[in-house]
Amino acid sequence: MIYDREKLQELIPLYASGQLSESERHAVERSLEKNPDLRQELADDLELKEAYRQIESEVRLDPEKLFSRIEARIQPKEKPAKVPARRQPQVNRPGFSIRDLFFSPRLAWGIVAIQFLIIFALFPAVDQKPAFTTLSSSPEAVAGGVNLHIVFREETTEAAMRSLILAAHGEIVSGPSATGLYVVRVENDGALQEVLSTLQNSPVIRFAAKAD
Amino acid sequence: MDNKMTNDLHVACLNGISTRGDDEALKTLYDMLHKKVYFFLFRILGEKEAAEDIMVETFTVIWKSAGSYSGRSSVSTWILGIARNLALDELRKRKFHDCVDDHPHIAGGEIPSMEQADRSRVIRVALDRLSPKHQEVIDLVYFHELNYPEVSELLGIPVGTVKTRIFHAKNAIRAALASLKVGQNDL
Repeated sequence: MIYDREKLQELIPLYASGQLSESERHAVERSLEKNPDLRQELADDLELKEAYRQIESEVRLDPEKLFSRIEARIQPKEKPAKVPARRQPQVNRPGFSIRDLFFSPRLAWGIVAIQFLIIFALFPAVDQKPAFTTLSSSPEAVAGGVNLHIVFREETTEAAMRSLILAAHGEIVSGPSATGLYVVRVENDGALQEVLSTLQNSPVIRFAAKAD
Repeated sequence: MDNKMTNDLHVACLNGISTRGDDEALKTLYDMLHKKVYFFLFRILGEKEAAEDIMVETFTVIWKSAGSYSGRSSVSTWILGIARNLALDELRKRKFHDCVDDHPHIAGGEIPSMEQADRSRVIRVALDRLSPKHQEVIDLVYFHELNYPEVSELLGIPVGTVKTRIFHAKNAIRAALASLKVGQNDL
């Protein structure tokens, strides 16, 4: 690359500060070899730079003190870009989730309203039957049948229970309760007493009686 | 670190300031550039206290308007531009602008004798005697190491004007050296 005199004079200061590209540097160096005026230009520039280095070294400055003045100007009001710290989630802080969830009153009331809606929506679905059954409680009898209270012995297998109930032409209405009570419906066809007697005499049944 | 890497780091600092209000980013930028900015201001204003005040003002402006950096010039050139505008405002307030001269000149004053002056000192005296406009371009090219297009951008003048001012400033320095009985041939 060949430069004219004017361009070379422009490049000399950049050459002196090492800012030229490889090709520009080579071009300047080739011109310097051939041109004593350009070498003088470079010598002048290097002396100028040296003078600046000396001026710079004499500058007395307390940068930290000056920066504290800058900080005083920018804090705290002039930090608009920063989100206030209290609004930032602090995962290490115990109990942060509750506090943060309820930070906004509007959000908190929203959550309460949703909770009420869920409760009311589920309310009809809750089983209204008592969680336990006593011997005196009387599950409603299915039309056309009689309910019997039956308690099987502990060691009775499910298969034995099933076959006994089927033999009596009955079906389990509810149970077992916490005390092992089943309510079994049997047909009221005149042989009720015989069925009841059979059940009471069964070795796998501890208790059998007609539910009132 | 080359110029591009340095500028990338400066840009990252400006982004930190504008997007997160990151005062550490401002401190990093300050640590890298405060000397340049202070020197630049001191050369314009000629007073330590005034240069310090305007430097504080400059970095406050950087803090507030980091997001307005467009990338048209390097960050350091952009910052020197802010500093320069503030310094010129300060000079206008003091009505010192009358001193600004379009032509290089050699002011009066005591001239050091050759016995007491080494070459570097002679150059420094000559530099101080340049008009502000010529001193400014010489400072930007030889101290701040800006190229001509950068100087043109910073000062808002054509590149041709930058070249002309450099040419005249260097001639003025040579003339000053000659008047101090330091011949150009001795340089």
